[in-house]
Amino acid sequence: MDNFDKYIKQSLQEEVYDVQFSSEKKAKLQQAMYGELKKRREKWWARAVRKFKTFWSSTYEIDLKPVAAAAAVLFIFTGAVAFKSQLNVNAPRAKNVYMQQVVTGPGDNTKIIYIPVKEGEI
Amino acid sequence: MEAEIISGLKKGKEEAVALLVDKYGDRMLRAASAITGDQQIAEEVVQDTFLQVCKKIDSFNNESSLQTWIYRITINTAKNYIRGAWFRKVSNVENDEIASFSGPHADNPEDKYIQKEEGSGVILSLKKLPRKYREVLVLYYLEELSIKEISNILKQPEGSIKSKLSRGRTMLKAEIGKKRGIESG
Repeated sequence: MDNFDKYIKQSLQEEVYDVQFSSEKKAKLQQAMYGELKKRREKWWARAVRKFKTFWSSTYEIDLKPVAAAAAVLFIFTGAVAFKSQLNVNAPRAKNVYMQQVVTGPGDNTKIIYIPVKEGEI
Repeated sequence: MEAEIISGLKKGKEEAVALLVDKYGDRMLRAASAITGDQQIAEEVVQDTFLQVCKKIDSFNNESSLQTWIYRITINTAKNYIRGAWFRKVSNVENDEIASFSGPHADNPEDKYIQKEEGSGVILSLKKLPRKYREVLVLYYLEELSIKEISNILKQPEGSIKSKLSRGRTMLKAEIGKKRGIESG
């Protein structure tokens, strides 16, 4: 260690010599840490209830990544379902198709008959 | 002592919390003060660090010592705060100079003014260096840690730490020289 090294070391140590927590801040810090340790030992449901209460009663920071991922999955899923149901509309099954027959009898007596079309007849 | 603190924290004992704060509180505060150059931010950094220690104590697996682990969390937290402080600087340029290291007795405006006028020596010069050099210099000169210990804390090869130390030292020397030149001339 040369003189410059000794100078840096000594100056740095002197400049921060008095830097310390006040006893009040130390006590607050210990209290907060103890609270954190207690939270860690909570049951999962107690933790969930506490988080929900915090969320309900205050501004709460929400991590947007999982929310965005969930929204994307929901969007894709809904899109896929909608697309699939649209395909079904365009391809009706035979049992839903009827043939309309109009029969005119004597005295202009008209009858309309709906005949179901069986699968494979279209 | 370390083992006692770790097992106490894992069991949620209040005495372990007190031991941890007594052993590392002021030490981490001094290191964080030198790295951030701001005692108020340093206090927040250390508080955050210790809360993280409590949250993550179960994941501590003795791969490194408790001291190394706490230093690592402190450095990473300080890094985040420095990034955050940049935004505060942009939004509040006038307070920027007051936000520079104000020391322990700078609670009243007069003391702040005097310290601002006098400058704060090496810490003020250190603040002008890039963070990656600052943290290595603080750990080496202030905390008197070895290259190996710093390498473990920062998770970087020893060679890289040595070169950062050498480059940082040169930059600090130039910065101090510049400051002295301004003061005398």
